[in-house]
Amino acid sequence: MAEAFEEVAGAACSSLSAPLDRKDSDAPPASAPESAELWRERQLLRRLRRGDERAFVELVREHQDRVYDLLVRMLGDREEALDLSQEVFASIHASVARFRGESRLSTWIFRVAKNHCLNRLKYLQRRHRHRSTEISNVPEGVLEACAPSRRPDENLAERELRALVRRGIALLDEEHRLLLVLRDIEGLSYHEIADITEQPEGTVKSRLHRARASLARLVAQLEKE
Amino acid sequence: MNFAAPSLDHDRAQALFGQLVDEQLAPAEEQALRSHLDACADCQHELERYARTVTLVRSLERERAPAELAAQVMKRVRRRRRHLFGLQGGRFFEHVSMPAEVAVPVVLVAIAAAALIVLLLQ
Repeated sequence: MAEAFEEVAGAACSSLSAPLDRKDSDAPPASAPESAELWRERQLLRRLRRGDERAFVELVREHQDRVYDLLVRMLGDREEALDLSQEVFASIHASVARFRGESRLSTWIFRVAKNHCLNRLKYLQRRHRHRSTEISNVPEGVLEACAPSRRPDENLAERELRALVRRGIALLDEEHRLLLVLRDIEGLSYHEIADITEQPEGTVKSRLHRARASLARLVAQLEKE
Repeated sequence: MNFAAPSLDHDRAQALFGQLVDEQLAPAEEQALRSHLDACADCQHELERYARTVTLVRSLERERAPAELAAQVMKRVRRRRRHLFGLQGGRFFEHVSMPAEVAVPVVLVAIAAAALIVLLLQ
C-alpha cells in the first residue's frame, strides 16, 4: 500500500505541473473539431425534433455510458441505475422537441439525469434505503467484486487504494458526490457543471474543493482502518 | 518590476488547492501559494493528500451501460405511447362506463346534432 501511495502521490504532484486534458470555462473559442461537433449536434437535434426514431437511438448510444456511470456512482446500485437510465432517456424522448438549445445537448441530458437522480435518491431515502449507508456497510470483497473490470497494469495495492476511493465517494453527501463525479470522473468544465447543477460557477468551485477535501480525509481514515 | 507575493495563512492556502490542481490559479496566486508551501510542511502534506485523491478519482474505471440499453429505452417509450393512445383513442370507451342502451342514443343524437349544424351553416 505504501508503495502505491508514493506512486500515486508522485503522479498527483507531477500532474500539478502537467496541463490537464480538460475543457475549462476559460478555454479558447471553439476549435474546428468543436465546431464540427456543434454542427453535428444541431443536425441530430433537427432529426430528433422531427421524431426520427433512429436519431433518438443514436443519441442514447452516444450518451448512455456517461449517464449510466453518473447514476451508478450516485445511487450505488447497478440495477437501480439501469432502471433510472431508461427513465431518463424515456423522459428525454418525451421532451426533446421542447429543448430550445440554450445549452449543449450533452449538458441538458446531464441536467435531466441529475434531476431524476435526486428525485430517486429522495424516494429511496423515504423507503429507508439510503445509498451511502448501504454502500458503506458492504464488505470490501463485495465492493471489489462489483468494481469494473480490472486494468491489466493495476497491482493489488493500487486496486485496494481505488477501492478505498470508491468507498469514500459513496460516503460523501449527495451534493459533494455529484460535483466530484461531474468534474473528476466525467471531466466536465466548471461552466458545464454550473449549468447542470444550476449554481453559480464560483459556488461550484468552492463546493467542489470542499468535496475533494472531505474525500481526501475519508480516504486517509479508511486507510488507517 | 517584481512584486512580493502576498503571504497566505493556512486556510487561504488550502482553499487554493482545488484551483491549483485544475490549473486555474492566476500566476500571482500560484506564486503566493508556492511561497507558503515552501515554508509550511503541514500544508505541503495536505496538498499531497488532496492531489493524490484527485488523481485517484480521475483514474477510476468508468461504468459502461449494457449494450441493450437503447433497445430497452425504445421498448419503454413504445409502451408509454401505447398507453397514451389507449387512453386517448382506441380504448377510450373502456374508461367511460356507459351501458350500450345509453351509449347508442347518445352517439345518434351527437351525429344528428352535427348534421343539423352543418345544414344550418350552409
